[in-house]
Amino acid sequence: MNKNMEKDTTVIERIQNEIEKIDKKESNIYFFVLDTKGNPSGSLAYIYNLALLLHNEDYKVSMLYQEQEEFVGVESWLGEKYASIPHYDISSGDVAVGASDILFIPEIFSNIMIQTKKLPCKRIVIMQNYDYVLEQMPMAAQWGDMGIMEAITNTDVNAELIKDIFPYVKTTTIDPFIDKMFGETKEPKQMIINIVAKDQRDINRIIKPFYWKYPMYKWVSFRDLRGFPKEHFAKLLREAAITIWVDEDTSFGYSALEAMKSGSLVIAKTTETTQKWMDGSDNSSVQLSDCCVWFDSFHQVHKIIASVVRAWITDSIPHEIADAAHESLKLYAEENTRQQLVTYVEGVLNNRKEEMKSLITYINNQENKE
Amino acid sequence: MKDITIIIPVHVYNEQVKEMLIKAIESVPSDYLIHIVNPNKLESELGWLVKKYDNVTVFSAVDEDEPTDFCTLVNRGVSTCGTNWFSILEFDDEYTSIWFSNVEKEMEYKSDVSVFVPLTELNDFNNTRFVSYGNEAPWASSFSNEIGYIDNDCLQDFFDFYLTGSVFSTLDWLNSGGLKPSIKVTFWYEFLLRLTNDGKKIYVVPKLGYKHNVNRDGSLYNEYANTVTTDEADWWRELAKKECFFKKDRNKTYENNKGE
Repeated sequence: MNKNMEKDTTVIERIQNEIEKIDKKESNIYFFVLDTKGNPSGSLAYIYNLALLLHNEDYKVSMLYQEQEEFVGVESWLGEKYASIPHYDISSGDVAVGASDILFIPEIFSNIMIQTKKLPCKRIVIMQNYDYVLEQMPMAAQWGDMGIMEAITNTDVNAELIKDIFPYVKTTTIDPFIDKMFGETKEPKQMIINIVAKDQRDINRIIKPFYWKYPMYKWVSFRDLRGFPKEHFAKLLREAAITIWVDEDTSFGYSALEAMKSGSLVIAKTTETTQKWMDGSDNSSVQLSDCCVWFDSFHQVHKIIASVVRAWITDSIPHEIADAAHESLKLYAEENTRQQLVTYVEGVLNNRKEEMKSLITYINNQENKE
Repeated sequence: MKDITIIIPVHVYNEQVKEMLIKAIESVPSDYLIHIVNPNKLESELGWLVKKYDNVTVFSAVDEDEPTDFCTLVNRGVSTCGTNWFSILEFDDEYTSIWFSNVEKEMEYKSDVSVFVPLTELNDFNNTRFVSYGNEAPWASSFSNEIGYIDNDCLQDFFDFYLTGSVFSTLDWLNSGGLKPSIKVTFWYEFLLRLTNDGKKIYVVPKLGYKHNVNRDGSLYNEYANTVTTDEADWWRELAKKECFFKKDRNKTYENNKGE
């Protein structure tokens, strides 16, 4: 056997090993994550949810991070079951990446896309926020230059946005799901209004003028829900009669759906893009769904809050709102996400396997020719 | 029949009272017992109600020589009630149609509560216009130690609660000693202080449960309130704070004790 042939045999064996790993579900599925230092993040929760779903399907899932300071992780706000997925610092040298592995990279990490360009694994971007792509990508580069040809998105809207700028990228939408910890109980709700808004100025725009304009409702309490661990956040949503949600450039709208699932009536600021769950259009008209009470301007919101409070304390909230919320929530059941994700990952691994088999055939053909 | 008796004290009767009484009775669902408590002298005049409404009983509970004030009539009504819970309805007020369904839901989950208080809508009797909400304050954040509850701390600074329409535990009421007829103006306040001193829980159901008319000519409260000076009102409030430690009514009067 000449040296070249020896080399080819070793290569073929290695490829066969990788194929075997796929067959035995031993290939690694890595998710690169950002450490939010214990601060809750809907985008990060989506990634951890995907990871946990695959982990529960017995895939070999690990979370990767690159952190100068101490890694804090998600235990304080997502809980132990997420934190217990193995985590590795990529700078530690403990991470070995093979051809049968998959590395998911969030859209925010254009630097990781560059650094990992030469790795043998399949690299897939997780794209949830178009603004991050605009912010983080260098002006002169695009995903194709970094070898990124595939992405999963959390919404069809995001898939369209990516296709528009990088048409060669294959996109697959994996719908998020609303966690089981969000749910309604039969216990009567309290007359408390939650506010979920990123910006303190928006909270001021809601509360202060409401009290000034409606002194008879000064007794209505508002509760700012920023920064609570997920389980406590779920409890606060469950308790309150009403939740006001403001996130105009949202990439999905988790909090609004979580509030709906908790049985809290949602008063929502209209958003820049209409997500699937917000769409209440029918054959005759284009409109927002009745799942929330919508407002366009902060100048209207006080009047709406006063009307909703009065309707709630007199049990005259139209049942159509709860019905529409129920319909919106049907789109985001955990089982749907699990099926979409498992089908997708199986597809990626099978394609990977076929590519490797083709490579073996190619090497063998080359040998025979020689 | 439900386990809540509705007590309506009636101290006077005429055509206007009759109209209001019908409205009040008809705001009560038909599966709740209603006890109309009145002085003996009104018995014959109120007898027709028993024929008209299956759930109504008329109790002529107060003798000629006894006082016919609101507190005495209520205490008598409670002593005749055979249910675990009761509610007091003034004959010129009414419940909202949603009150009892909501209070029943709350009772299922709050077994430690002695009194379920409704959000009350105060309307001007003369022009039927909305005046304000009542009992709403405990839903303001930091008003009391636990949102939605009336506790002893918040009662040190705030006394303006309307307890008619509330659903009371009969046992807790009887154990507390009931209302004190000699405490004018602030008898509800004194009663609340007494209950909270005893560690009883009082919850305001955040639903509009009761419509209370104010400024009606001829109303006992209106007539009395119009004669009370600021000094006297302050005196009754301070008295309530002292008397709440005693279960018995110690027959205090402003005239005899104002120099205290």
